[in-house]
This record gives sequence, structure tokens and C-alpha cells, in this order.
Amino acid sequence: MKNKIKNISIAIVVIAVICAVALVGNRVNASADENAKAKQDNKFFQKSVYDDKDDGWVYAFEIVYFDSGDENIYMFDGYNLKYKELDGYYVPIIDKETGEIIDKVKPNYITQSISEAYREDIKNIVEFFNKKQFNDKITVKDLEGLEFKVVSKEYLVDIFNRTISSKLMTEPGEYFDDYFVSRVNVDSTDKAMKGEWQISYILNYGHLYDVNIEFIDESGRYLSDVAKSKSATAKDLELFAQVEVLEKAMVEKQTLAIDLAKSSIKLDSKTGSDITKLLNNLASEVK
Amino acid sequence: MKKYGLPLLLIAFALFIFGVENVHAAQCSDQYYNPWMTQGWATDKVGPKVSLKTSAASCYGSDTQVWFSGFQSLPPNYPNGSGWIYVNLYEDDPDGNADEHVKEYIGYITNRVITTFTLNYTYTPGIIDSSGDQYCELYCTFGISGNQGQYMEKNIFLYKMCML
Repeated sequence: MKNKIKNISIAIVVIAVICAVALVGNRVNASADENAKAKQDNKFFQKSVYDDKDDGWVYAFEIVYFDSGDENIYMFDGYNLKYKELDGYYVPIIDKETGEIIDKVKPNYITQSISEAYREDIKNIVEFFNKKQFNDKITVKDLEGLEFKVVSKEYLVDIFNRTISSKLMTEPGEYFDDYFVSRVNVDSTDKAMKGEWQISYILNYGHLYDVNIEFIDESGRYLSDVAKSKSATAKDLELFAQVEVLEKAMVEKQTLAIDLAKSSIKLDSKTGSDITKLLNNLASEVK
Repeated sequence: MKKYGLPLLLIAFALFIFGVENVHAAQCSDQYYNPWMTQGWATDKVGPKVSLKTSAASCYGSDTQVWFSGFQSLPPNYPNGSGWIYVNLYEDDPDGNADEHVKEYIGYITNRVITTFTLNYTYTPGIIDSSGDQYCELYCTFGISGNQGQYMEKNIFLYKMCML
């Protein structure tokens, strides 16, 4: 009888220990799972400043902060939303062994990071800031050792300081999963207006920051340049004004999908049809 | 003789050009978008396999090419100041034999845009299929740096495989 009680007691103790180990193990695993999930979800917040410059250029500084506590990510570049292509802006395909450029590809974006003149500057600036992990305002002295020509040191310090002082964005926009910057072109079907329509956009943490719509005529002239020239006709000016209304509406409503028929934008039927096609093509690309 | 000089010269020139073009004419696959890629170090996402004919007596790795185009930017949900896209070209072998790793290409990303693509290494410049077999079956595998376990589902670039 004593042995029986002893055996039962031992069994109870063993079961209790097993249960205790299992419970602790589960809690540790759950915690590890939660951490893994948090990292998997890649949740991050962002501070950014975008500056509009001349001729379709937008300069942006972004600082990404991870919920997981990983190191911040710093990004700085110039983006052009006006031009379809620019000389000296391309993605080189290089044979590493020989150093030969096998091909030069014009991508769907124009950035200073793909320019012949400034690609190394942008790469060095990005590497520098990511290494330094600045968490407060800086001065030009903090850029010691970093040389570049793409912008002035004073400007880089200024845009960084404005970025680090800006409001933290915590809610991504609707276009968080879409191309950060992109461009779509369609040919004009109006025989009286030969050329192509173009729409470009850039996002900020998934929110639409800017949209630019251009008409590029068969001579390669851009509507925005024509509208500012002395030779602009009343029709050019009216078209440019309506295009600007459309661009602003898209950013205000935070949508790349505007139904022209339901808007107040006034365009002749052929132009309206071409721009509708442009917007539809963009919509099918982003979604 | 003078009467036939120019036509003969033109014919010779045409034959020369035809000959040169024939020697260097490449057979290429269609253009494909990258498949969705695993972030991190895995390069396990596989594109379509195509059979291409070489103009040489056998398929050589040094005669293969991968051409890239149609670059798009990455989405805001990919926050990386710098990153890499890996594209590895393989020659498919029958089951039981290891596929030949032919070439490795690396696309460099800065600020969510591809800024350079490099033919990083040619693993197998020599024969990649049976000697005398002019048809080789090529495919690519893909991967992208980033948050391990997550995916990059966007069409970021087009590629095509060619065989000289």
C-alpha cells in the first residue's frame, strides 16, 4: 500500500513537472512567434520631406523606423516626373569581369540614382546616412568625409533636419503595395494633336504625393513648356489648366482612378478619351 | 570585268553580312516578368524553362545571355536604402542529374529603384548539355534581399534568355 501511494505520488509529480515545462515552453514559443510575426509583418513608420524643384524634379528624404527595433533606414534621391527620358539617365547592364557596359536600359523612372553624373553621389549619401544612423538634427560638420555634387551640403543638411523634425507617419496610404514611382504613356488618337499623353506619379508612404500629366507632341515639346512659352495658344493654356485641375484632384482625393465623365474637368471628346485610356492603363498597372 | 565589279562587290558584301549575322544570330525566349520573389537570401523562385538552339556544335555557357528591361520601382512597403536582386541562369538536366549553374546576375537597388544590373559570374562557361546537343533547356531562379520570409510580388523587370 505504501509503495502504491509512493508510486502514485511520483507519477503526479512527474506529470506536474511535464505540464509545467510544457506551459513555460509554450509561452516562450508564443513570444518568439509573436516576434517573428512582427518582423514578418515588417511594420514600419516613416518621416519624410518632399521638395518640389524646377522642371519636374522632386527631392525626397525618408527615414524609416521599424516596429521591431531594427536599425533605421535612410533614403535620399531626386525623382523627375516630367520627362519620359533624359540623356545620361539609364540602368547599365555591366559585365563585372571586364567592366564593359553591355547595355543601357531606360527604365520607367528617372532618378538621380540612375544618372551617369550623380549615381555615385546618391549611393554614397545613402550609405553614409545608413551607417551614421543620425537621430537628431545635424550640421554640415556631420557630413565630414562625404563629398558629392548632386545637391549642396547645406541643402542636404536642411532637408534631413526638416525630415527628422517632421511628423511620424504611422498609417500607410492606399498605394502602399504599388510602384513607388512610375510612368505610363499612351499615343494620342487625335490627328490634330499628334504625340503622346504621359502620366507620372510618386508616393509618400503609400500616399499619392504628386501626379504629373504631360502631352508630348511629335516634336518632343512638353505641354508644360508650351503653356509657359510666348507661342502658347488659348487652346494650349486651357488644356494645361484642365490638366492641372485633374492632377490636383487626383492628389486631393488620393486616387489614380478618376472618372472624367463624372468630374468637372472640361476636355474635348478625343482628349478626354485619350486621357481616360491613360488613366485606365495606369490603373491596370498599379492594381 | 568592270561591268560586273559593282554587283559582285555587293553580292560579296551581302554574303559577308549574312555570314556575320548568321554566326552571331541568337535564339531567344519570350520576355517574361520576374516571378514573385522571396525576400532574404533564398533564390528559389523559378521562372519558365525554354529550349533554345545554339548555332555552335554544342551548348556553351559562355554563349548564353540574359537581357533585362522594363524596370519598375519597388513599392513603399519595401523600405530599403540598398538591396539586391539575384537572378541565376541554369541549364536543366534530366532527373537525377544536377542542373548546370551557368551564370549569376545581380541587380542593385538604391532607394527602391534598380540602379545597375551586373553579370556577376559565369559558373560554367564550357559545355552545359550533352556534347553535340545543340538544344539546351534554360531557366532562371530569382531572389531579392529584404525582410526574410516576406515576398516581393510586383513585376519589377522583364527578362529574356538567349543562346548564341
